[in-house]
Amino acid sequence: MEIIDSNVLFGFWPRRRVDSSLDTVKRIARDHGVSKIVVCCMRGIFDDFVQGNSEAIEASKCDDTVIPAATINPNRFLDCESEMDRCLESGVKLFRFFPEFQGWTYSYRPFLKLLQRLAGAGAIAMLPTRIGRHLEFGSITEIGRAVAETGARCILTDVYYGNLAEALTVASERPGIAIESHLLNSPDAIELVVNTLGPDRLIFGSGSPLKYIDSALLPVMGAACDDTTRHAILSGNMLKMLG
Amino acid sequence: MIPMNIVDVHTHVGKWMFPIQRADIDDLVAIERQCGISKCVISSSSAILYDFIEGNSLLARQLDKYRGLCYGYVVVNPHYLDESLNEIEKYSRDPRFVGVKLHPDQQAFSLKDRAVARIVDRAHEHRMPLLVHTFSAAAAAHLTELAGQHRDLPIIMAHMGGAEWESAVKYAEKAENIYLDPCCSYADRGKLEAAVRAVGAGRVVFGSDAVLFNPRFVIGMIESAEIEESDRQLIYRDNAMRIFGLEE
Repeated sequence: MEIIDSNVLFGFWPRRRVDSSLDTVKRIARDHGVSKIVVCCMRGIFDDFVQGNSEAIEASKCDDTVIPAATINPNRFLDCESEMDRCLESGVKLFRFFPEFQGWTYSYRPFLKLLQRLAGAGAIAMLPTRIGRHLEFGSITEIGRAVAETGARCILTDVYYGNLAEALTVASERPGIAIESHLLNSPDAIELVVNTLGPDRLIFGSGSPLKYIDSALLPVMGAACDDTTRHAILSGNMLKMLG
Repeated sequence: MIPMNIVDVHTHVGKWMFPIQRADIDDLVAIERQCGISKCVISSSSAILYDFIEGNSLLARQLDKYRGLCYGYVVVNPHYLDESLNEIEKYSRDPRFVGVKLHPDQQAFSLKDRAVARIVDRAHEHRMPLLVHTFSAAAAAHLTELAGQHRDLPIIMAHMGGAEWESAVKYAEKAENIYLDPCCSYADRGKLEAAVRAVGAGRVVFGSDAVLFNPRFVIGMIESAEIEESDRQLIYRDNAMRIFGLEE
């Protein structure tokens, strides 16, 4: 069964020691039967997103198992829109945002403006929901408002038992919202998402190399669902979103 | 492939205020069996979240259904010291209960409280290992201090400091009776390797936190970790069998 990992980073991680090189993330994927990885460069989170996005795009040119994701920091203001256009022209479909490390929120006007532009281009935003790592309520509700305002399509990451109620409620109201799987770590969470939202709204991601890939993979492999649904989660839904 | 005959030192029965549908002891056992877990030590979620005496009693009534597979923790609450000591006394005579559980975050106490020291003394008298929810470096430091005063009592540092696991393992190095249970709601890559490096695989245990977590999530941490196969055997089973004196 084909596996596409929608949530992979590479580069240098400044917040703890971890081997995050592109070679390492490709090896981890290969060792676990993952056929394609959607990668975003860590430089784009913490440093220069233009350069980071170039690294991701370059990585994809050298290897057809690598799909680039871009990131833009709305705080920068300068270069944001031109960088989005440049990435779109390069074929990038997924744009990731990292408010946790950049100090802004989902009601932040510069972010909403970017989200609107993404929606107009038919691209997808990937948005973390567990900003403070532990119980964090309200961020998904804010995303729901942003999606309603802009018409954007997005994938929520870091949904886990603590914010699952909020994710299911908001996603039920907004068909353009899908959920990435790596933190769906309660026993029946995958089944609950599929039963509540349908099989086409859940997307496999691992958080590699910061997270252990088997922690994301084993719950999907063991979930009580048919093979069609499992295939959709592991690759089909992501392929559809990427067009 | 899912490994077999795992001993799970960190499980719960009962509802949590999250969208988790399967929560009673039958659900737990079904989930554990599907994941290759042959024995588990359980605390009552109700005892942690609300009335510990009622919750312990509820668990005691359920354990008989799965003798030899399910064991219990006595949950205590230091705000009710006398009652907590009584609970330890009562269940120390019950071979189905093999340890004592403390949850400082949920019950809003500090591991530095004098009442906690009294509880640990009592658990020590009865040779009942502790499982302690430890979700910060500060809590890990306090737990290490307690462990230093009870050097032959196994104390399991549940969650291994949460997000602050890198600091927590440094504290754990200082007390040889601290065991590390790395389960957490985020599976940080490198956490298992750090635990094994710091204290050795002989002091790392498998805890799933089911029914809050899917055991596959934590098994995935251990399977992905770059450690020796012999380490996995210790973590999945041997250490827990020894700590709790469980029979095959």
